[in-house]
Amino acid sequence: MTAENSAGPGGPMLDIRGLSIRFKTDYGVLDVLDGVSMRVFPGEMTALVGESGCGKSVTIQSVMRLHDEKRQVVYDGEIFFKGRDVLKLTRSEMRAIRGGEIAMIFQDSFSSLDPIFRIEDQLLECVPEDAKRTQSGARDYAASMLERVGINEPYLRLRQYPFEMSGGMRQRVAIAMALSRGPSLLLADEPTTALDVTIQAQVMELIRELNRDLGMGVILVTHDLAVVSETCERALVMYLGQIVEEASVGDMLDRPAHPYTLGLVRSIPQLEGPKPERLYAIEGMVPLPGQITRGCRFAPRCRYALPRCCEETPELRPVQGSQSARCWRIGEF
Amino acid sequence: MGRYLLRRIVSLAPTLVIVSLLIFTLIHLIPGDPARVMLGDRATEQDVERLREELGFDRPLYIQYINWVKGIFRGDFGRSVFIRESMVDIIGSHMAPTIVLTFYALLIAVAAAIPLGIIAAGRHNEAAGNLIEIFAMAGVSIPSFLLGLLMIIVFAVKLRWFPAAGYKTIDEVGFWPHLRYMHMPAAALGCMQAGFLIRMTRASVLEVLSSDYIRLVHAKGLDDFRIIFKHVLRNALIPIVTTLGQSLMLLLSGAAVVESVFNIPGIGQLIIHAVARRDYEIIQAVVLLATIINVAVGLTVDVLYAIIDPRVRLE
Repeated sequence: MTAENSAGPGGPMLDIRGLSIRFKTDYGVLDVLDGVSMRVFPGEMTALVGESGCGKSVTIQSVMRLHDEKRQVVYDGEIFFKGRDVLKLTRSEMRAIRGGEIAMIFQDSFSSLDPIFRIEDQLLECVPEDAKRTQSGARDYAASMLERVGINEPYLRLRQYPFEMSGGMRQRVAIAMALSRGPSLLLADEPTTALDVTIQAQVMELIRELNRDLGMGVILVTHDLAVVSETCERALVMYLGQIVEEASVGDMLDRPAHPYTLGLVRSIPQLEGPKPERLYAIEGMVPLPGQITRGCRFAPRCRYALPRCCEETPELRPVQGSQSARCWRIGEF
Repeated sequence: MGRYLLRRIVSLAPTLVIVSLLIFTLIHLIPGDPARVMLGDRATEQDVERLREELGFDRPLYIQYINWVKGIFRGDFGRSVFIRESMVDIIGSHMAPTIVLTFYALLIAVAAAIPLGIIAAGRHNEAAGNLIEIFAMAGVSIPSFLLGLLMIIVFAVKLRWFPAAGYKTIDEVGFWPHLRYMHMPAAALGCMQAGFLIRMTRASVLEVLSSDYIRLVHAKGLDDFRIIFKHVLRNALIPIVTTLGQSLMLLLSGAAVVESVFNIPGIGQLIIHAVARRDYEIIQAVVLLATIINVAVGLTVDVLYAIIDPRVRLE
């Protein structure tokens, strides 16, 4: 396996293997991720899907090691990025990767831009050193990044503060920052959740375009399957810190193999056809990480659960082609 | 910025009018008569009446108020019936030690609190952080007069580092010897505010540290130094600056207590004597001055606030 670690042509740029994360909190240790494995290839757009609290954001934040490592988090497993395990890098090596080769955009661009600095100040922090040699050079570079993400009058916008911009504009600024050093991997944490539907489409289109034109790998964290179906090639479905299904987006939508995925797919409201009595919903709530029982983690909410499901924990098993699922009853429903 | 400032200043005028009216009525509601105090126990009723007339205390209250306000606009802040000096001189000479004491105490409080607060936030749930919190809690809890007395025992009586009490002006002894009289009073006075500010700074820094934009600057690959001193500190300072105005006012009023512990002839002593003797004009002038200082501090804080936080300036 080690030979595959090096990011040779055709190999994955990001290879997460058996990543488990525990958070130390005041209430004890919480298992937040359990054996998560995923791969991202250059130029590929992968979706990470699931309800709130299932560990999607934790997963991608650990790629950048954004958790408070001094006291909060214990990692287990490996995260290979271009052949190097980021969990073994020093702080300064890590800093070079952050915002350099891996960039990130967050859900709420209002709270994720520093409210008291001009766009210019914040964008210039991301401008690569060689463009910074002259001040006008740095500004021109920053302005060109704004133009790249479709912002008009970039020099005017540079002088503005985040609160003077609309939500869509701020998210574009956040994307411009992320792109400033030409990252090869973009981690997008629900980038459109806080935006209007029309703006959502524009921002997704922009990300998609950058992914195609720059050959950037993208992990899109979302709970919106409609967005996934329009933009991504592959999807991983997460539930309670585990990957429960991995498939191409087409397979996932047409024939979901895990009851949880099935529930998610059925929860998409349909525009055509007769209106249902009520909208479909998966019963129950996501339990807290401390309340995990043995057996399949989804069993308490699963309408297909057998006695076995509450006793024995299923592993991720292949279904068909590249599709795999963590369920005892694959193919039975 | 200019318009913002103008708007703020205009909105202060009603405050001053209301406060001056309140001061005036309240003071005259206090039982007691300066004429009677001046003349002593053996004065006849007629003598007292005559003096009241002379001083203008027999006129209706609103006339007295109008005359007082008129005087202020002419630069005449009234005349003490007991101290034969101009009001400006009386207040000026008593104000100097109080101002030095207050600002010195604020300086001590801020210089101690902001670094300690940042450390307490960075090391929360660790020994160092907990220790600072205990220190802050103690600072908040110990009354300044008690701390002052303890300091006198330890640093003046036992160690003989500082003079136990008293006061010498800069003109008399020069700057540094003058300050020697102020170290202990200022430390005693500033301790409580230091405690408040440590807790305030810690809470503010912790809040900023957990914000999304700090996560983003981490994700941008900035080094810790830049993150702390540029993004965290400036954002965390916004609520602290607001608190500083309140701190200054609390220190100013707390100064009266510390002044009496250390026997410093400040504004506190002046007003205590004035109240005892019903020296209306001094009380009025001092309270008005306090109001003006309060309002000026508030304005300064607003301006600082606008400088730090662009959202205030532009909205």
